[in-house]
Amino acid sequence: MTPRLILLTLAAFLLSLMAGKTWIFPPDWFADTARGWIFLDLRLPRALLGAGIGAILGLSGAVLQGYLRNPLADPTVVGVSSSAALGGVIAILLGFTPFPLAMAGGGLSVLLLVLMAGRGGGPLGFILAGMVLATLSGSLTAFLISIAPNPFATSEIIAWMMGALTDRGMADAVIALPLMAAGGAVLLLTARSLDALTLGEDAARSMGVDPARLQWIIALGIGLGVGAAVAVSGVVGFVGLMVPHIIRRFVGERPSATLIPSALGGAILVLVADSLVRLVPGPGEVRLGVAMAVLGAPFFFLLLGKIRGQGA
Amino acid sequence: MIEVTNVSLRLGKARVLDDVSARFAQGRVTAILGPNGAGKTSLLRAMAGLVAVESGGVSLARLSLQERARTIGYLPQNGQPAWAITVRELVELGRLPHRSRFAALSPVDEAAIEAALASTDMAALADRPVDALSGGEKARAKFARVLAGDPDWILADEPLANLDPPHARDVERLLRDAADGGKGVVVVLHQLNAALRLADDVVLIKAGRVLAAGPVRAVLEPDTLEALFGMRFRLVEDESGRALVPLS
Repeated sequence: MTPRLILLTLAAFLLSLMAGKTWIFPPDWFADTARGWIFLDLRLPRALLGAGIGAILGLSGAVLQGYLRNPLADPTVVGVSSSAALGGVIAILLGFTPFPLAMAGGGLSVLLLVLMAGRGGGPLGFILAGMVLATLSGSLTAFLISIAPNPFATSEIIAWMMGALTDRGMADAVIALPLMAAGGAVLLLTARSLDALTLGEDAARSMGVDPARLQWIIALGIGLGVGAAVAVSGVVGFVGLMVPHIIRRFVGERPSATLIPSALGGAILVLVADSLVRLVPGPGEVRLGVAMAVLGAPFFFLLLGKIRGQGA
Repeated sequence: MIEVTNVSLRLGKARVLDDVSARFAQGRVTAILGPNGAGKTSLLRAMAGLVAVESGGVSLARLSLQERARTIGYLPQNGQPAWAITVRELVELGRLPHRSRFAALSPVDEAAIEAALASTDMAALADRPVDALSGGEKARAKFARVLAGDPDWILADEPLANLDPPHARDVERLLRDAADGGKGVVVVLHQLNAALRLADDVVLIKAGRVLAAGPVRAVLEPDTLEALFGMRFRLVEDESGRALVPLS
């Protein structure tokens, strides 16, 4: 499965390099022409970021679903995405670039998450603390939008929050990609603990899993990876939720087996979706976050149908 | 030998174990019996190092997390797998304490997994997802996971719950075989007659304290059981075995 996913990821990456209002094919890629500049300054960083963001979101979703033993978990559920978004909104209001404060918001949120979840370190405490954070940062964000000094600031905030890779350059990629890679590497350390948790917390602990340590590793990985993803692109939802579901149908349900395929699947999904939003006719561009939500709703409708079918 | 010495334990405000001392021997099956809420599971979890005791000590608690994981196989009561992994993947989990983080399964691991599948009669079902198993098959698969780790001790919390008589008998045999093979087996039980059949020793727990402990024939008799449960039992015995019958 994984080799095929790698090939598909490469294909999606190439598609993302070429697709747009102007198609740019390999002969023009490094030419000293307008097309060559578009390729190097816009398409290449955008494709790199799309792959990185999709991978970290897919991987985070798979890790959180394994950790919480719940197929409906993803980074937005535990409040990391909305806290990073709150940081970004504060930065925009103050007239800074969103990245550092969004990253700080994500980092602060995982720290609070672990402290609130408590020393016992159970998944239930983790998810409840995450919901507190998500609600709190969501309402603070709404409050900040309501007191924004002018309509321009409001529209900038809303556009950023909806999630997009528009106009991201190589400078963004150079900062965000290493952070996402580091977060991803940390998250991969959880593989065996997630397998052990399949049998519940007591069984996992009896097999040598230290729950407090596992919680810190997950918080660190999500904070770095998802924090950087949100900081560079705003909130792109549903990737972490959808991708592990699809992946499980092909690789089975053992959590460790879903991690790398979910990262690849996430990269494919975001690269393809981000290519499609560029191809939609019209003056502007559909926001990536919006496009993902449009894909997400019918996906969950199908899932609902399947679950109801099983229950009958 | 696992020695539990003067252990007290609180969960929240409730004191669930109160100055409990008991000894558990290898090569024997010891049943922990008592009314609901008496502290049986808490005692088992304290022995497995899953919960920090307030005072007192458990001899195996000195081991590191990893050493303990290799020494004790713990079978929780409600260990329903959260994901539809296959039986083989479930049994592989038993090898986790023996493997370094990214190492593939060694030949020793493979052999232990095959042996555990064979002794629980699950080899033919090894590639089946656990959610497609019957209750009895699931119980055997979970037991195979513990066997695959080849622990010195098996601590099982109500391993016979929700099993019909033939499947309960299968699990009883597996527990007996493990003890006969030299492992220490400690089980929390509710079924007095299963304890009569299976156990060598019993520890009776009432309201967080040890009421009585010792060889099963000496301890499981009507007067002690009346003190434990507050109701009368009659011990019937013939050439096929012994049974306790509750009197209404």
